[in-house]
Amino acid sequence: MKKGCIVIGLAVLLALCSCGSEPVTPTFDEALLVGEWIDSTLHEKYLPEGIGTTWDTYDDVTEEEADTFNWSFDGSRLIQEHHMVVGIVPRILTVTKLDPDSLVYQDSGGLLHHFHRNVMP
Amino acid sequence: MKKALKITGITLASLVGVILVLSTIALAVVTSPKRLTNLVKRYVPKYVDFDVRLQQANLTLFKTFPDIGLELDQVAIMSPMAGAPSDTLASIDKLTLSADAKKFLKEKQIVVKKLILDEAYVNLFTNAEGHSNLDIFSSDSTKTDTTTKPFDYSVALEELKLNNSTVFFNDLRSKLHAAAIGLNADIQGSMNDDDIQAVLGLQANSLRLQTEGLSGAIQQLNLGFDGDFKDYNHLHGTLQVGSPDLTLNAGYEVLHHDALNVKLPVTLDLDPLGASLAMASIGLNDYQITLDGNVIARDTNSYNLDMTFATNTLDIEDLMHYLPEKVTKSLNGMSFKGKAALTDGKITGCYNDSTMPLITAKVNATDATIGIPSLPYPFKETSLSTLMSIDLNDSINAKDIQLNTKLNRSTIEANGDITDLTGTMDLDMNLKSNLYLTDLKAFLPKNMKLNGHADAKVKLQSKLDDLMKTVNTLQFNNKMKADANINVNSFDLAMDSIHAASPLMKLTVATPTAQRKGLRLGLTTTSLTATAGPKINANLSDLNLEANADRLDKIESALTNATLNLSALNLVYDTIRCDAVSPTITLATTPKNNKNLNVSATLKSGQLNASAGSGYQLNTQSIAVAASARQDKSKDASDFLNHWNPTADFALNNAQLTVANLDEKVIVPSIDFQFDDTGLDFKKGSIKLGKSDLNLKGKVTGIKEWMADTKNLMKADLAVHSNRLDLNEIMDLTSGLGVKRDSTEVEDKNVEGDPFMVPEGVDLDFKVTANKALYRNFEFNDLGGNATIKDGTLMLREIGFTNEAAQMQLTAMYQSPRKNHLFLSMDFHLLDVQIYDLLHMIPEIDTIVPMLKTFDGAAEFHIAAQTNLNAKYDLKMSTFRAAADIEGANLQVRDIASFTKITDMLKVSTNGLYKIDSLDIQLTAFKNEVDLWPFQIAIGKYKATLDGHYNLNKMGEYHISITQSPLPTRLGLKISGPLNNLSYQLEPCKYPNLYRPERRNDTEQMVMQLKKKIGEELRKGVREE
Repeated sequence: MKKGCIVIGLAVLLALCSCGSEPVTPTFDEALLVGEWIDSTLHEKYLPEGIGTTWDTYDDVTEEEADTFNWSFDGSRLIQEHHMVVGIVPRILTVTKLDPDSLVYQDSGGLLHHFHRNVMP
Repeated sequence: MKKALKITGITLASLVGVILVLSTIALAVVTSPKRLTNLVKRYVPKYVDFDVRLQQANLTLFKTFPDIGLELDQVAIMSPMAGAPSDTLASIDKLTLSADAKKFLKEKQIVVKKLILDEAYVNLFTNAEGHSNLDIFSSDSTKTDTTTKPFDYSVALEELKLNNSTVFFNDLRSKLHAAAIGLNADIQGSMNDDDIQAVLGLQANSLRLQTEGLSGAIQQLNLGFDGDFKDYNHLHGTLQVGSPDLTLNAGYEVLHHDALNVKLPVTLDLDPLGASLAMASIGLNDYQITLDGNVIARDTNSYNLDMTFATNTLDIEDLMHYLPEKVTKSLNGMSFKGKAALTDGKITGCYNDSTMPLITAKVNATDATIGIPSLPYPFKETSLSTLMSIDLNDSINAKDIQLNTKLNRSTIEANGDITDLTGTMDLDMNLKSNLYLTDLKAFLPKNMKLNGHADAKVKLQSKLDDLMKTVNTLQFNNKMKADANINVNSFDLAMDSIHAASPLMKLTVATPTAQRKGLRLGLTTTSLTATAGPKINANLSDLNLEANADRLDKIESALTNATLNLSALNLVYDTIRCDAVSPTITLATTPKNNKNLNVSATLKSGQLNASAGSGYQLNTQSIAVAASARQDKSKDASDFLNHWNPTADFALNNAQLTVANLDEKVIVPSIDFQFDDTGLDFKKGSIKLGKSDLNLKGKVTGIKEWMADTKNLMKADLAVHSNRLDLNEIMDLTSGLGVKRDSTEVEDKNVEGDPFMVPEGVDLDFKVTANKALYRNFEFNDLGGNATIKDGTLMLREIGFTNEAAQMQLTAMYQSPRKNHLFLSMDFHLLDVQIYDLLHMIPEIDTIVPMLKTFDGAAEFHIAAQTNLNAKYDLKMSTFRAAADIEGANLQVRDIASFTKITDMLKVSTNGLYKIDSLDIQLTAFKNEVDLWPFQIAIGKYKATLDGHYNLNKMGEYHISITQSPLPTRLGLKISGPLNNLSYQLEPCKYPNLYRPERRNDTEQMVMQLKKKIGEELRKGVREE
């Protein structure tokens, strides 16, 4: 009985301790984010001033027809705020890799998105 | 003429005098020619005061026996004159004179009986002042005889001969020049105190004549007269003139080596003056004209004529050669062949300085051919009969004209009169034609083919000038009267892709009268079919057209009205078909003083059936259209609306619209709208579809400005009201409408669709209201809002409605920037909605928020979504965005089994109550991924925070954190897998402090801010009541 109580107590402590803990994540240079990134047919373009656009040529969408969003970047947390006619759709993304050539982030569903920088003018 | 005769007489008398002198001398001396010659030369000056020269004189006794004769050789009469071609008036090779020997010997009286001139050369000359070289004889009568004359002499000529002589005549004053060469004349006769009997024979090898504008030549002239002149009053005889070679030029070649043959049996009385011709004939080559009758002088220079004349048969083509060149040219290449004759000719009436006799004659032409260069066929087998009446005091008329001719296969018959041929040419004609329309080919455009057969009857009364003016101007007044009845059989017209045909058409045309203005046109036919290309087809049955027009040249200046009645009209355009029963169409135009035109038109029809393919069919009991237009020429014609200012009233009653795949018919009880320069005014428009009805009312303005320049806005302010809208029925009826897609068909991504493209340059505002609207099992009340089309955007703006379950508001937007890139957005708010009803109303919400079906109770629901679509309205998933906010309290749990499982695993005690005290959910969708933002629910003493992520393929992962519990444990639960087969697994608590502001970390703080922002942004669209 005593042994059982100890196990429960440890479990509760474990549970209490595990709640609210934040994982340690790397930080990246925001300046590297600015530019156009391509994942297959998907394009994302990060402009200074926190403005961005995205379009997917698979769906016959051109850059001129791209959706706009606001973005902010805090070390590794990238937030896209897509504005609809009415309402907004925010995305919280976790950047796992960012260098001059590549960008990798993970969406809220845990899916990794791999981009390479578009060096074409 | 009189002067010439006088001079000639004096000349002859002088010559005779000279000869007598010579004869006397000859007789006196009876000596040698030399002595005789000297005597003659000495005595001649005693008798004449002009210069006469001779070479030798001989006395003849036997040659002229029983008369005594004198022969003079080389006689010359000199009359020098400035400008004359010669100073010799006459040069006679030999002059022979005979006198009565008995009288000469017994009575010393010389009576000249015969005079013969051989090879005389006579040169007559008159200068420009009118002085003649014959004037040397004119002083003879006044000459004082101061010398002793041995003999008296007189003239009693029985024969005068002229042999092989030549006469030249030049008159500079009258510019007349003549020459007779090889002239032989023999005049025999007797003359006493009462009578003259004479036989004249004259021949000339060549006679030439030239004067101003006229020249001629006669070869081998033969002229003869045989007759007497009794009592110096009554001339009777026959004059004959003949020549095988006559040439005459009057600026053109009138006669060219033609043969002349004239025979004039004439009787002439000098007192009272009168003449008659008995079967006189004048012939030119083979043509003869005979004259018979008399002329009687009424007084000086006034004569009564009563004559008949006729011709033999004339060759028209040959006669054309005798026409002046000017006339020939005016015929513009027309050619004439055939035979013609004048018969029963009469010349009657008085001739004097002011009056001309009446000439009448029957003209008969047969088997004539008239060629006109502009026509493909000549008029053949032409016969003409008419009575010509030439009244030079008044007019020249042709009466009882009977003309028959053929134009290729067509026949034309004309009867009537033409009055004043040389003046106004008044036509009073009846025309009949049996016309093959193919014969009109030359008059038609090259691309037009006309077949058929017409019987035309035309009655025409008009002056030619009025007729031509009407034909040229196509303007009609009552000066020209014409009535035409034309029956056209087997009418067939083809022009490019246009084809029209009718078995029988009756056309009537009547020109204006004093009582009726305008040209009246009538057209009736039992059937007229017309096609234009493979797509347009029209059948008109029992057509009756009546029209009036005062001119046809410029319709914009015409006063016209027309009425078209049909028993049936069938029109087909491609797959569109329209059948109208007893339609009546009227059209009227009225030119205004300022030359602008007013036009009005109406269409009334009984039953009308129209269809578009097999998809649409419209049946109406009646339709009426009244349209008018006011022309404003100050506006450019290309600016149609401002140039014509059209107005129109449309009224349609009791119509039914049948749509394929639509089980219910669309009933249109009535539609009445008006179009004018201010716009389109829907006065009344009602539609019933099943249990639903729609009423339309309002105006569309700015149409003219929009058509002139699409940069201008066309505005509409329309109200659409329904007493009852059964959306279920409408959606069922219209579901899949127009879509003919085989379910087994493999979609081709490259196949473009045909989406609705929102018009630009319009500002259309529809105020939509409905008393009741049924959707699924819900009845909505007081539906109201706006539907607008503006700047390329179709928008349903804040459409509000209520029902027992909720108050709702919908805003939707549709844009079509390009065909394969459409945009759709919606913003939907349900206030105080029952979740169960919500899910029933909009089952699609379960796809986005599957967990919602777990609850029931009152909630407030806001959702916004937008996406781009391709041309086939397929979602472009990469552009799909959505956000929703759900707030509720005291919610009942419906999925008790799952709820119990969760609460059991999380050690949550519900005390048998399956209830959620409160929830506040925000979720967003990006592409096909849905984020359920962390939210808190309260269950009694427990609170839990939930989040989730799933995709629209129904794969998901949820997390539940117990954040408040009487127990010390803070468990977490992971629920994952396919939504219909979830797995449950305990895991650490994920959100212990999310709803504890003082303990939130930065991420949690940010999440809460975004949650709040999502909700606030969605609620901004809620219309404030």
